Amino acid sequence: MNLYLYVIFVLWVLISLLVARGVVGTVSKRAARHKSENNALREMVSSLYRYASEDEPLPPLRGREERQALAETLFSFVRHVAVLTPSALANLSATHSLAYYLMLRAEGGRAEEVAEALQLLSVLPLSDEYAERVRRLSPVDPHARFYRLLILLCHTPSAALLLLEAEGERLPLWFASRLSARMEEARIPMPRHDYLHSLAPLPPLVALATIGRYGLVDAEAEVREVVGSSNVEVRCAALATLARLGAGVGGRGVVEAVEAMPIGERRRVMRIFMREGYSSEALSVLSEAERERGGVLGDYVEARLSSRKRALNKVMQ
Amino acid sequence: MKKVLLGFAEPLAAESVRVVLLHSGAELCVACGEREMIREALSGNYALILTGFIAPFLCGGDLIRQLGEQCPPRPAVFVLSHLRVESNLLALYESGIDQFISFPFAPRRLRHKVEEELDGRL
Repeated sequence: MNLYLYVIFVLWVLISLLVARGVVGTVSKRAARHKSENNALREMVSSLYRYASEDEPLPPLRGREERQALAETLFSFVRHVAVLTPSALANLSATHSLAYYLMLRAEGGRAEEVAEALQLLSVLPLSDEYAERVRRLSPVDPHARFYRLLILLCHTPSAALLLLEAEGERLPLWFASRLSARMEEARIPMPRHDYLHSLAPLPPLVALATIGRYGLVDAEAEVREVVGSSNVEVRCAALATLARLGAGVGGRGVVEAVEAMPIGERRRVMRIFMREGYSSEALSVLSEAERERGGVLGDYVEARLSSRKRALNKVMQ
Repeated sequence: MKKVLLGFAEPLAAESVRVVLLHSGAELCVACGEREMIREALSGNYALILTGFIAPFLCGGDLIRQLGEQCPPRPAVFVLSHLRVESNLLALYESGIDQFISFPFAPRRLRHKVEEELDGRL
């Protein structure tokens, strides 16, 4: 009996050792591969910098992996170092068939591959032919759709508004803020008035994101005009932008627009103003309107704000 | 040789800055991660810190004060970021950073600023 137990114990120890060795081996192999990938990317950055600053040609690329590494490095490099001119970038892309390679992946890959290929393509200057091929794509992944639109915007910045109106229908609206940042990075002109008064939801959302981010107080009057928009997201974004600008609630348009909203939306608007630090006094116009309706939202706002004030008083004491 | 710490979340961003400063005559150390950067900054004897991290300087992070107390003379801190919002930039300057450089940076300008900073130090 004891012998059996001893044999089982020895076998268990041996199996555990083998499993542990396998796990350690896999981890160390993965670490080594990660390290070599990082080294390859580092070398690629150095080569790119020498190419841009000293006109030293890049070593020839061997295979798909190196082309992918160059595309990834280029994506990061262009966004961090302003040293590659558009013509140098186009030359690099043509010499190493980067646009061709990425386009093939965008046209025939899995959803995440398409999104990644389009993301990497978004920093490369594209010919009309490639832009047309990107236009014909209809990816299912929202990120891929975002980068597809960005590529088209960068290719024809003069038609940005038309593109946003036409193509923006297929993009989730929460991309507006990100789109505004990337359009700014790509130096795509954004005429505020035209964007705010567009009938499609995406252009006003993009303009409102920019106004809110930079706190452009001179745009307050124009933002007030959008508060009565027929689109719920645009209405709420306009009110959120007004709140970020610290605009008065009692001014033109706000009370009327909030009164016309359903209860869920009104609650959302009140939360936006509370989050931006408006006092119950500043929100009294809206609270009074709520009381006249016979609703409890006004009382809720006052109770929440006074509770927050009490908590702050405690902290300050 | 004066030591410069490069602290960035993206290894490629750190590498982009490193290749630009390769011939600046300083010893370049890279920290890829916020905690690693803070630990390294407080433990090493650096003349300059170039970082893409913003949080350690804001919202009670107070890294500048800690550097002043633990590593005198305090190393100069340059923040490199895609950030462009004025209120955030003001908050960074109020927290005590020395320079803010926005991405994408011009290599010659960055090298000049770094060399100027290092030359000005004993």
